[in-house]
Amino acid sequence: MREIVTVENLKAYYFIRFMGNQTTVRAVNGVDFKVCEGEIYGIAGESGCGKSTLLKVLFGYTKPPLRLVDGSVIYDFDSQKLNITAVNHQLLRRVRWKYISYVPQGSMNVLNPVRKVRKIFMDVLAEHTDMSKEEAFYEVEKYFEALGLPLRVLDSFPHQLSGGMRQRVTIALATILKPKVILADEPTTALDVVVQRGVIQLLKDIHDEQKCTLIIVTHDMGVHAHLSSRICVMYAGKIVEEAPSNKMFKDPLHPYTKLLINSLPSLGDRRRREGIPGAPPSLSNLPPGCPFHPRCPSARSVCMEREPALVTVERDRRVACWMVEG
Amino acid sequence: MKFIKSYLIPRIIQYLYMVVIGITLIFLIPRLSPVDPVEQILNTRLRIQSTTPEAILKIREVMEELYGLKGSLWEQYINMWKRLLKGDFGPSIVYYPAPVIVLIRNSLPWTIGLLTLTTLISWFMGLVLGTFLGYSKKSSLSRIWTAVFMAINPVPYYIFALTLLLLFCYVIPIFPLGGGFSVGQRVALTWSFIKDVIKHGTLPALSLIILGLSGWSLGTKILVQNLSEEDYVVYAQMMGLSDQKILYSYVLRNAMLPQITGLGLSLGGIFGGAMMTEILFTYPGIGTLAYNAVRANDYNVMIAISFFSIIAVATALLILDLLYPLIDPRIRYR
Amino acid sequence: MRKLMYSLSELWEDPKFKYSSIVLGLLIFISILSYFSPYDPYKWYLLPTNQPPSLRHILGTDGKGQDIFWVLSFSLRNSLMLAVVAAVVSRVIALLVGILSGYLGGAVDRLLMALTDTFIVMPVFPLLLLLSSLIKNYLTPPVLGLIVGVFSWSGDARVVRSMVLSLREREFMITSKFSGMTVKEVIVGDLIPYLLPIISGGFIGSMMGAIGFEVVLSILGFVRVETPTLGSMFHWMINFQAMLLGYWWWVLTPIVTAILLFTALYTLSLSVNEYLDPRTRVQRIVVVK
Repeated sequence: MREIVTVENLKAYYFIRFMGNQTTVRAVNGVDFKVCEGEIYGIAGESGCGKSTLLKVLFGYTKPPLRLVDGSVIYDFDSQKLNITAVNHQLLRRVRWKYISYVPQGSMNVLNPVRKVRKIFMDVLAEHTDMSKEEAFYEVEKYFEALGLPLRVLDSFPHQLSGGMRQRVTIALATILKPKVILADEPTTALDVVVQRGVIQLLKDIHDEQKCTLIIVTHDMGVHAHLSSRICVMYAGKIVEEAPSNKMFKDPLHPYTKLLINSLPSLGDRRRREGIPGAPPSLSNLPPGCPFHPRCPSARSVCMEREPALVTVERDRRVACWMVEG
Repeated sequence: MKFIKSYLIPRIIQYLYMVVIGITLIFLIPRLSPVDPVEQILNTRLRIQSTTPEAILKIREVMEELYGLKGSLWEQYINMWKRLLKGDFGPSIVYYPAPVIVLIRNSLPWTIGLLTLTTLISWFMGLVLGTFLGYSKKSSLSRIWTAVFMAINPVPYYIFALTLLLLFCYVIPIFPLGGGFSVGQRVALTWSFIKDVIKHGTLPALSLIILGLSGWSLGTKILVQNLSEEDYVVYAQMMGLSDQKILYSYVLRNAMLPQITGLGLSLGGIFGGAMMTEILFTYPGIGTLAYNAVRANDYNVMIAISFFSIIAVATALLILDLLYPLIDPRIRYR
Repeated sequence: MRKLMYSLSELWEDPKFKYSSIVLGLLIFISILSYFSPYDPYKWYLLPTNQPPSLRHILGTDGKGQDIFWVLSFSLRNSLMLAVVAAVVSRVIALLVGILSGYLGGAVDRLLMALTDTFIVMPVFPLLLLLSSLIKNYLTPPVLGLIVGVFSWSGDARVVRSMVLSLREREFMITSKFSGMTVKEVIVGDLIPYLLPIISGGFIGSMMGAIGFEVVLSILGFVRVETPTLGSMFHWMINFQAMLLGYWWWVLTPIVTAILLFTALYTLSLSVNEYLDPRTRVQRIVVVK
């Protein structure tokens, strides 16, 4: 399989000065991974571990105070290779939506409150295609029908839709041009469980139908279990474990992954779910050694001194933990 | 039906109590003040002539009648309403026996003409400029304009107007010193009269527009700045929409909502006149009328002006309330 | 107290705040000097008229034979006093109405808000004119301040009310209630600190409004212009045709002072608002390039 996205040694920091103090928030701190064409690649981890920032960098959306420090993100489309961290504004605008698109967090208020849904879609079509107004009008309806979304939604204003419908609309909005790569940032957060299912199904359908590559960020391991074919777990701006989905759920290697999976409720299980004790470290002030050691149930002395590297343990598995390496 | 019951009626009730409270205040202010207006006028007007005590008593009676000061407070209040509803504001004291309503009718077109035009122009330009200032706040052009507006904005109007007056009437005399039209010009709908009116109105209009423009621009700028950080604007940028599209359909469209309220209220406020402008430029509008009324203790005129101001603002508010659901889809006629 | 000092030192970083506090400090200093004035501001023709600035009279003298510097000093004192009275009165009413309305709710709320809405749209200027023409002889600066204050509380009362409504739902109010505190204790202990930011912004705004209104009334001659105020300085300057006669020191003194005072108050309110507004607070996080 062809690798459509190659991320190498990516570092993106927030440079912030507040009340006279200068801080550097190392949100993405040396990340590398590859995503194959047609894959659903999941990025997991608690909030505040740099997942969303990583996705923004993948989309080439680095606005101050966020700044790319090092590394590259290379997309390999049929005709050309593209390093998104080093292209100009014009090209970026052409690539976005047509080749790479972005589904924002479900809780965000991303639809213009005074614009009808159809108009927002037509804005996108007018910008990226040479369709006439009339063609665009029907194109949107056709796409909604294909996705099984009710057509009345098109003539509504965003506030008239339910949260789940709004999220479906944003997904449709991000995929109407059939992009090669879709980046989805917490698409199910802030929705209730029943609605979540529908949204996940919609993403899955679009993926199967359009044969696109999907990179999905969510803290919810349940969503990953349903959707992702391969998962990487991030902690404090770094990948701590990466494995195919079934392997990771069956046999997690990193203690953090174990805790994440254990915090998931499963059917017929009446035990109280335990959250992970403690909170992720501040990204502007990381502990020495392995960043997870203060919360790790099996931390040893080496964990406090030296940081473990992300090493390949099996053909398709990587993990960064002293316990596993030994 | 539901619209009438749960949207229209509450708003009309609100309209009515606003007007009633306002007019009651107008009624109470002269009566609660320690000064008796009739006494005041008798003192100032009759000082020159020697009048017999009986004559003074007679005059006093007539004046009390004219001012609606006869009977108990409650009777006076009811009487005032009866007269107001008939449109009878009594005679003016200064231009006795001209009815107040005629004086107002003569001044009103001048004020409305000047202020409607300047308000609309400065509002519209302010909206456009402010949007630009807020959206491209980092460009040096935007910085310069913002600095200019910030410098103009706190300058008191009279200083600003005086400077304009000095500059364009004495130093570079391109505009007439004041007035609504030239002395000797016949008031008629002729081309030369219209030209004359425009020539006289330019400087007062300019003074109002420049200050108004800076206020509206800065207001819009802050609005737009906050709006540009809204999720849907950021997302529209991510979608790769053109700046023009984002600015027009995403930012400006949303910034307009509160600004329309502001415009409505300013238009409603026009009736109060722009006294400073009219005095400084000796413009024959409501402001000048009010000024002369205050100086001559012509209470009937002042009460009428206050009355119309309250009605105008309350009506503007009512119209806004009724129109708002058309502009902002989030507000429905519940 | 330490928090206040910290806030001030932080605000001091803002050039807007620095400028406005220096200018205001200077103007307040001049107004305090009036207590040591060698002249009675109500007495005319004590000095030769229309003298340009000299060492004896640093801002010259005016057509009434008064020393302009000392007139300015009295004027600033009166205008600032008027402004503070107006601001305090309007803040107190706004707080009272807003808190009562938001906290008690129900019929009280409806009644007070009906009143507030009426005051919001009330064309204040004609009413104030009506009033001031009636009681012209009683219009000392504090009385004028009081009147302006009574007519300029309504907008902020609404803001306070909505703040109270949202605060009321928050947890600490409920805990305070459960722990047996009276309404008054809850308000003083919990609410006021939250409302303080809104009040300070409105305070400056209403000061500017009051000073501006006094100047307008004085120029028009609707108050007792014998009392030295910023407005009366304009009044006499215009009345004596100082502009046409070329007495620039007499013309410029009130104009420059008014511009300084207004820009200082304006930038102060901008700076304080920016400091207190959480949205711009985030913007203040400076991006290092």
